[in-house]
Amino acid sequence: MSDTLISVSHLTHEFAARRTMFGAPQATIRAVNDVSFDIARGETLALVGESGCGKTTTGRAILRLIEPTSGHVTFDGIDVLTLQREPLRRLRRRMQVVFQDPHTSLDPRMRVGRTVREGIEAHELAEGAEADARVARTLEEVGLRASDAAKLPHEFSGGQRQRIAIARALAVEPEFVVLDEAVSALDVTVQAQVLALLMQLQRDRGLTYLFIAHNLAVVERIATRVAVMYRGRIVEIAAAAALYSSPQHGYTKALLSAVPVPDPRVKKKRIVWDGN
Amino acid sequence: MTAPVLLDVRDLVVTYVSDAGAVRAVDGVSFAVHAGETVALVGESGCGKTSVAFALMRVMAPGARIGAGSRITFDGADLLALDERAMCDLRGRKISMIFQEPASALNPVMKVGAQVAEVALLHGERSKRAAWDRAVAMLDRTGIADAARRAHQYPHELSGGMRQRVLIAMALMMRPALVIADEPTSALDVTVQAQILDLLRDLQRETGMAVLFITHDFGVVAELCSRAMVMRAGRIVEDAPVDRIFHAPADPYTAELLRAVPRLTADR
Repeated sequence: MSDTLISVSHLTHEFAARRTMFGAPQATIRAVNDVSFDIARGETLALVGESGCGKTTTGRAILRLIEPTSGHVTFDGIDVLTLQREPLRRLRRRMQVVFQDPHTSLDPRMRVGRTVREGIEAHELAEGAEADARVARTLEEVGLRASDAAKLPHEFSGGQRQRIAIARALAVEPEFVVLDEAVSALDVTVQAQVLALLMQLQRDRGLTYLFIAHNLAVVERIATRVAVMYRGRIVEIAAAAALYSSPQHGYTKALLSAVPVPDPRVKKKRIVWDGN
Repeated sequence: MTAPVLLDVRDLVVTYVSDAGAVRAVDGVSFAVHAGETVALVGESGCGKTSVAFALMRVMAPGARIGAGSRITFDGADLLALDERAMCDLRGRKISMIFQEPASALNPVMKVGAQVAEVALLHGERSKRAAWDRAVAMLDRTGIADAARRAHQYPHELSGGMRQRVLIAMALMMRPALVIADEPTSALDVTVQAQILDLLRDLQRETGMAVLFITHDFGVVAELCSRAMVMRAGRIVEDAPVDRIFHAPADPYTAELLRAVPRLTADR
């Protein structure tokens, strides 16, 4: 059967919503509330929901970019949340992230080659000419040119910048990539190209994705399974085909019915969900 | 039964001048908007669609210039010949604009009711009390529950969808003949977007206003508009009724854009 790469169980994360004048939390918001799911090696789990539903916090907790309040995350059998500094650093080579906005996630003064090379050197995967070759190879793999290594981020379009962010993530040969709204800020034509690239890279490298997004129409192309999140909880998780053809939860139905149809001849019935 | 032409744009050129040189963001655009019509101006980022909107409102960024041969006629008046005072009188009263980012378009330290009331005060309302009451009525009309209480709140106390309703209330306060909506739902969640589109459609029917809807989203175009103009690199490449745009696009770029639009299998 499927081989589980990531296992998340009872993950909960609370933020202090209000503090006393001495800094002690007075009220908390449970951004992620008892979330559990597995991701099999080679699949794409899409985590979908509206802003503030907790999807990004979930992704960050898995990568341990934040320390969740409680719960467990294992990666290939390793307990991620209790790892000490050095083993965590080594694990981070295997799990990478691509953020939404390539304008803010790239250092504007760092040449593209150095951006991509940094991880290779930090994890001592290669050095010198070998590292250069690896940078060139990765840039070409994401559809850029090896000579682009000498350029600065502002010389690229939004779509190209997102390719740089993907190259940076892939340069350290991860097994798992969190794609946090990685195509949401792109124009539709560019979005389609970057999605196709991500799917191609997944096939070539056997990657596992957690694809965080708010647009169900975008997710349908890439997802193996979809988890729908609402107010910190997963309200429905199913194989993509099943979720799209027969959504079970009222919120999933509302979300699907709200996606505008790019066809003036089609008038879709809108389903409103009252939150219960 | 063609409605009279409300807005007529001929040969609009907008140039941005900087140290690096001049860029023609809008490169000879001509179109008309009829009274009561909902028209989309669609295109990808950087195509010049927002520059068109700003030129129509005559709110120009530093370094932006409207070309000498450009003509904009609104309701029979030559917009580009109006002085700033006449233009101020027109803005908000006859032409108004709804922006994409309600968070940055609102004043963070002013009650939302006062921001809506201000529109009336700027355009002839003498009584602050009457302006406030009109603001509350308008907020109520845009679907804000408990508008009388909400009017006393500040933008940060409202959700994104509610803030967008406040902007719509401001834009429609004076019942303008033309509303320019620049990506008014792009920053919103899909469920909230659906509500705002319904609201705009209702208000449009009720008031008979014309809407120039600027967007990159063909889904929104199909939901709301009767005609669409597709813009690319500063030019309009196609201008046709939506049914033709979606089912028999004449321009290859329109066809390419439509192919790239993500759509649910169930909606195909």
